[in-house]
Amino acid sequence: MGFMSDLIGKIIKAVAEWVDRCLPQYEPAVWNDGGTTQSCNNCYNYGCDIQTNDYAQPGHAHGVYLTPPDDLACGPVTAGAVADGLVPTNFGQGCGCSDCHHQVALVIRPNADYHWYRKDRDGRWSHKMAWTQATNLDNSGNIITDPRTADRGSYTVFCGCFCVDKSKVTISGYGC
Amino acid sequence: MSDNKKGEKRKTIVVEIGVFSGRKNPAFELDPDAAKDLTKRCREVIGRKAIHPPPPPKLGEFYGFAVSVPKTLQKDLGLPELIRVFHGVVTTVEDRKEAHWKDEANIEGHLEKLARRYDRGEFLDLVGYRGAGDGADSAKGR
Repeated sequence: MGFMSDLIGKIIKAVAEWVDRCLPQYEPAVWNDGGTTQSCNNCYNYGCDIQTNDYAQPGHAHGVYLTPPDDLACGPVTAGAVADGLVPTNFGQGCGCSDCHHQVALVIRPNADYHWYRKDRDGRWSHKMAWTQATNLDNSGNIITDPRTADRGSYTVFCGCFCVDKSKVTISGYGC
Repeated sequence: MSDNKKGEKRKTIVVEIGVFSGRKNPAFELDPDAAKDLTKRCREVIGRKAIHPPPPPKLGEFYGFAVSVPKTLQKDLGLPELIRVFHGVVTTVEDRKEAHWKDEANIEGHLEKLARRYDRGEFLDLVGYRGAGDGADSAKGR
């Protein structure tokens, strides 16, 4: 019994440590400072959980430059994100726990803009629109449990999900 | 929004139009006369009538103008570094602290006119912006 309980305890501890280390916590105050962090980090920064303070754009750090409005479609934005190190995955499959990564989702307002959501430690999703505050609510004021069905306004196209391993992802933008 | 990282100090007020999420928002720089006019309106509002924060932004809709005042002008103009205007509410940001003031000088409507004058009206139309009247009216009712 002692061996089993020790083993179970170690497994629980390892899982808890992995969760702490790898999955972002919904902590809006970290982003909603009213200053540079809030103003200069957009949905892509928030989704990746990486503050660059330069309004990161998918692909920019790796020489892939999106040209609005034509490039604002699933294909080009996905290509930019993949160049940055994001790995496509299925919504239901998620990112597993073999590596240290969290899940994000890409949506598009065709030929106008893109937007990212991220899955937090609590299993819910949150997002941050440009200079506005990070939130876990959708346009209807509901907590986001599934970005596919959330009220996304005119961002009607759900492109898919990606895994973000922060140690393997590099993002940057044009400045702020 | 801040002075850029190459060491160039911006000397003009920049107005950013909040319409996008990931893509960079459209913006325009004010000429001296427009800056003077905006400064006058801001002085009529800031510090006068405190009000609640504006409503939360919605994805795909207009979520406000952000007026960025370069450090070199803040003292001369008596304005904070960042002023956001949305839905009849003027929000000032100084030292990371926000304060909210009732837009009794119709700064939002003024910024809309400037945006159109600076050929940025298409972005307001893209998100179906209905004009500052709605914001000002709803602010009056609170």
